[in-house]
Amino acid sequence: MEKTKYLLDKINIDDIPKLDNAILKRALRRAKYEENAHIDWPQAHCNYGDHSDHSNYGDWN
Amino acid sequence: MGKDNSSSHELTAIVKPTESCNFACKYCYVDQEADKEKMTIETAEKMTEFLLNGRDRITIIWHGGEPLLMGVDFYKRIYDFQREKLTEGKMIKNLIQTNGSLLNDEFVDFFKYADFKVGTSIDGPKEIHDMQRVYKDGRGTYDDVCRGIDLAMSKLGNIGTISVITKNNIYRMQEVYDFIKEKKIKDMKLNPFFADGRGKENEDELSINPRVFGEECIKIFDEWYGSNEPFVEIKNLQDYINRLVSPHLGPCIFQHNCREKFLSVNHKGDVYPCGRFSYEQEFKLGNVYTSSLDDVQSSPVNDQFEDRPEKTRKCSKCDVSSYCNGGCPSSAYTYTGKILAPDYFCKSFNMLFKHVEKKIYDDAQKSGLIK
Repeated sequence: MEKTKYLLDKINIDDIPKLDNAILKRALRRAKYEENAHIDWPQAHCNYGDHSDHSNYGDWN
Repeated sequence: MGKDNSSSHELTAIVKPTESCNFACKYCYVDQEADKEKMTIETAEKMTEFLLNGRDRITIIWHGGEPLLMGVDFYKRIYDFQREKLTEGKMIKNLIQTNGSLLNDEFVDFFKYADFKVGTSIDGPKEIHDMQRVYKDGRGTYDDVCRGIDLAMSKLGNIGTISVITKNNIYRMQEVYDFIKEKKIKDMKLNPFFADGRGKENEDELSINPRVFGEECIKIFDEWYGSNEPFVEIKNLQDYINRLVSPHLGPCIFQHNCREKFLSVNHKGDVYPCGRFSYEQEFKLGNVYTSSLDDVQSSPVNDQFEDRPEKTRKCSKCDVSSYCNGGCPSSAYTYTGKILAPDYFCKSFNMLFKHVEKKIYDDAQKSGLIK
């Protein structure tokens, strides 16, 4: 494991659309968004279908 | 209300307005002797003021027990009170985690109107679900839960689900995953069984090995991640990706200091560090009638959580602990009686972080994002 090295810090964020995997692409887009907004830590023991909260991250594809 | 760049004004309160439940699930962390009292509207209002006086952005997770046993009027009244108390710069988001059986048109219409996000629990197909989520007389709850989920889905568009993984379904996680997808639910969690409360009494029947949980989760991760299907999210697996991508993402259990952002309030207004500690008197931080949010956050009770990953010997030597931070302190306490111990599911965290890291770095390399 690469201690405290995060993928977002290692890439050029303008390259995110080049990613083939849409699930990873979504995570990077969220991370890019969260860096400039509030930090949201989901609570591990609940799950409330908050997809709509993420609609402002743009197109997941 | 506009966003700001500060996270220090945010707090999530896990509120337990009642510990009563119409179910008797075999793994429930509330024990048989749960207090049957309910939160009064006066205490709910006092709690709202307590929270808003301390933070600007509040998320309330209505939990339990079964929170719908409070009746829809309780939520209508507290929602109106919240609106009255919201001043410039303040925000409250409401979420509710229900077993789903009591969802009806009145509840769902109100949740839609008031923008309450809804989470429910379903453990897979009927045969699996009815083995562990049962009424007090032993009858399975599947039919009533599905009726509630279908109603909520039809009116709200999407809800979240939690499926608890026990000895009954650990080798059937693929069936659980397929089942939730077939129900068109986009947002699921596969949470491992914890031996607490009633779950402790049924530990032999339900307990799972963390290594096996890790192995089975890796199979599901590969299926889901490999499907390249972003519209279905397995939250507890997405959490590993998120945590490896950015320090700003990840669930409460992987944060260095979850106490900064979470607390729990029970029906009496007593405040605890988390819903999972709210049955342990020694962790009580204060009460909404007599304490301020600053009082409870600076309580000496909280000191024992300070720098937990660094103070826990096994974590201080682990190459994954910078990502998982030792996991959930409640899990550690439940299984060892100590806060300064790793999460019971430490082994599965280790396996999953290493597996997921390899997957995402391989993909980033293949797509030319890193060399």
